[in-house]
Amino acid sequence: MELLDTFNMQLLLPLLLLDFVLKLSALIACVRQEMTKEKRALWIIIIVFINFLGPILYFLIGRRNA
Amino acid sequence: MSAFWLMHAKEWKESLRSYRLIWLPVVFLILGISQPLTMYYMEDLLQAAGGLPEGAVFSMPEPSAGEVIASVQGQFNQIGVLVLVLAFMGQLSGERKAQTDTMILARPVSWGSFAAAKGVHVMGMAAFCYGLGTGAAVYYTSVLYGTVPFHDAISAAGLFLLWLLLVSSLLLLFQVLFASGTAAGFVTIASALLLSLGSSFFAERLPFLPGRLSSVSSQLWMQQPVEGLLGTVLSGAGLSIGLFFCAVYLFHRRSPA
Repeated sequence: MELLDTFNMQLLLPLLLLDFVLKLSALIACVRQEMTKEKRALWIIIIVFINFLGPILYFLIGRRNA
Repeated sequence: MSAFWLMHAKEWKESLRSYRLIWLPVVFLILGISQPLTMYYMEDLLQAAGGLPEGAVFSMPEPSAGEVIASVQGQFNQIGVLVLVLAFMGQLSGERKAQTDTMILARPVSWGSFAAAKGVHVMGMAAFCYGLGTGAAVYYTSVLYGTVPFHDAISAAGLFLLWLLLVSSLLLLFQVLFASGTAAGFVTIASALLLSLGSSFFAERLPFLPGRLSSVSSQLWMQQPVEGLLGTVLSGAGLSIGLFFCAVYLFHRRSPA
């Protein structure tokens, strides 16, 4: 990873940490919410694989009927 | 008044329960941090994403600290406001749908304080998120680029905060007027856009329109001279206070007693 060496890790770390917090809170909320198995699997895929926007989409749309 | 504070505390609890209190500040923090970082590492990022064609010269003027924060604020004005409105547009209609509003309003709680608590909560959340996000942006900018004079930073942030309060008041009013939360959110975004568009149209003749708040704030970050600042602040504050009390009054008038 040549690219990573050019970045200052001390600057990047808080961003990674915040992203992790966002994903984790969305995952916890998703697991604790009542919904069908298929829906939950779909949301978990969205939360994990779509960076930044995935958790936001879940919180805005996925919890509508909760 | 004690009913208002009780309702207000209830709103914070509700935000915590629906995870809003966690993810909204995190979103603003990520926006505030990632913008200065991507601007600083733009060249490396372009190289990593396939690079420029052979022989192309990539040169960008080094932005000043104020310009970086102004661009962060542009993000807050687009994504931040959108996320805030979308997150809170279901406040009243959600209670109506779950019929918790009848349970609360059957008690000796004034309808006005019920609505006011919701509006004040959105304003508090907006201030909290914006404060955190801008704090992070200012810190990252100070590390990567340089600092903005404290006096300018405070007044620029205050102006943008006033703009956020205005949008929150709009959201409360439209939540009272429309039964559907989606409609309220859509009309809020549309009218906020109209406000800032209208004020940029009439910038010459009417330099005191409240829609200027966000652009004036960016100008202050960039330390450009601003005219008619006092009029903009007064009209912005007046409009948001007026809209807020209008919304509370309209909701109060629906109460049976």
